[in-house]
Amino acid sequence: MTGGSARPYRKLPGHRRGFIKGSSVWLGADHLLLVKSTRFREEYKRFLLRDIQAIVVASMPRFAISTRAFSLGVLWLIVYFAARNRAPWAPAVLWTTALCLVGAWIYFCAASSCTCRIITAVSRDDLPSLYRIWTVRRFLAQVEPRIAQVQGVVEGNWAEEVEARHLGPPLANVAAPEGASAATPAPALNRKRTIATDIFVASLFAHALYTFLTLHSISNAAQWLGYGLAVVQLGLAIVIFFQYRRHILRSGMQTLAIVALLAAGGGYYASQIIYGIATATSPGSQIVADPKVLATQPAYILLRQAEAAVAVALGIAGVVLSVMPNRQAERPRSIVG
Amino acid sequence: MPLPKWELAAGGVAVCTLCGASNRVHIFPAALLPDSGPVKTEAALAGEATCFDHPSKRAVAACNQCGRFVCQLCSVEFANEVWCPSCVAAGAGKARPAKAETYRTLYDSMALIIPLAAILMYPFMIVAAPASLVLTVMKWKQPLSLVRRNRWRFLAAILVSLAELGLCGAIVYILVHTSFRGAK
Repeated sequence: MTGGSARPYRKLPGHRRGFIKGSSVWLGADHLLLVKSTRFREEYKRFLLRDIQAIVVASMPRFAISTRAFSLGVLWLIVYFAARNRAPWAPAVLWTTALCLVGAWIYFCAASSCTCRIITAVSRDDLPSLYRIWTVRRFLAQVEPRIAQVQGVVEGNWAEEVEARHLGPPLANVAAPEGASAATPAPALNRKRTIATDIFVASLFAHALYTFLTLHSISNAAQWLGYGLAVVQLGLAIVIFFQYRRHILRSGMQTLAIVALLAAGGGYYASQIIYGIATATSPGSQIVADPKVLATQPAYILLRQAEAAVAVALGIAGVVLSVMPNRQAERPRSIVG
Repeated sequence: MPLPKWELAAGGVAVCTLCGASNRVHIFPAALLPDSGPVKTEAALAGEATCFDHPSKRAVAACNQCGRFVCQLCSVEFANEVWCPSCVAAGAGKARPAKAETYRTLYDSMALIIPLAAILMYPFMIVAAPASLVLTVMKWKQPLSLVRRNRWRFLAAILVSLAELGLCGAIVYILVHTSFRGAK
């Protein structure tokens, strides 16, 4: 039962795989383990079999794009780009397939989906991994006999008895957010700026200035300066992630750092594509894009102008985030705690 | 909460009176147990062991962590043991059993995703690959997920990081070689 034994948990049907969040339910010796994962962290909640009062399955539409559905979409795209010019009938077949897949997804989401909730005397929790009717059936087929082993089975007309009593925790507990209590003090307000964010925002403006000054010609030294600037930005972004994780910073700066890194990566890839196009016909091309060659390409100049504009926009966003008043501090506290 | 508002019908099917959704309710005997009510503690008689926090109450058990006597009110059934409220609040340090864990950080996933994400922005491989290797070495012995029991992500992280380091070395060599040749 404890984490020290060899195989303490058995996987139960249903697995919610999102891009960031996931969820699954596992069966232990005397309890169900609800696992909610957020990529780098798993949160656990246990429901002792002897404490489970009810499992409620509510039919309702669930339009979730799972990673499986996303993978199917990506597979379709790959097949489409690979096969569209192979045969005259290929596009029609592929588009029909796509329509069928989308239709099936909409049907399953609308007509065969549900939410599943587990109720004990002190908790009422959704099981996010169970969102298709057939999965819930398989889940219950495994769980109900185990609960029956521990609790026995309900005999007689339970509907009247249930009507007369209150299932689950009191309403006041439900209104409170998960894991919080009325006595929990309000969390300390995170800061909107630190030295790292100030340098990061300054580096965005420096990046824009650097890009603007080296728009038409670039020396080796300037090139290495650009690499150095990118490494500094990456390092500061990591610091910002850590500061956000430690609740020192608010989320805005982390989002800004992510967008800046994505923009840098996207710009780099676009420059490689432009370089590839520029040197496709010339012999003896290098593996790594030569900025001197790139600087002669109109598309590359346009890309760098866009990069500079994005860097300025992100820098301005960073300044706004740094000086923006903290709305959380101004907001009156909820009268319900 | 919503159960009393439903029209419970035969076969465990209930219809929500608010939205009309069809709900299937699986009731278990725990739902029909009588309410236990408030915990009653007994006053200690002369010569009897008493609760550490309530000297007038009779002790019913000793805390499995610190050994303090606890009364009925103070005894907390926790991970098949009886703990006192202080030990529950403190997590009882290193004696904390795995069952009490409410979260774990997945260092193996972290170690794998760092070099994989760096492939998208491959100049950053030179930072990401060593970072992943260091993280793998530092966290190799850390407990993994409660439900995943192998370390293949760590191994994959090592392989991907080493491959990236090799690639970075090759790129740096080509860059330096090209620069020197250009300077000549």
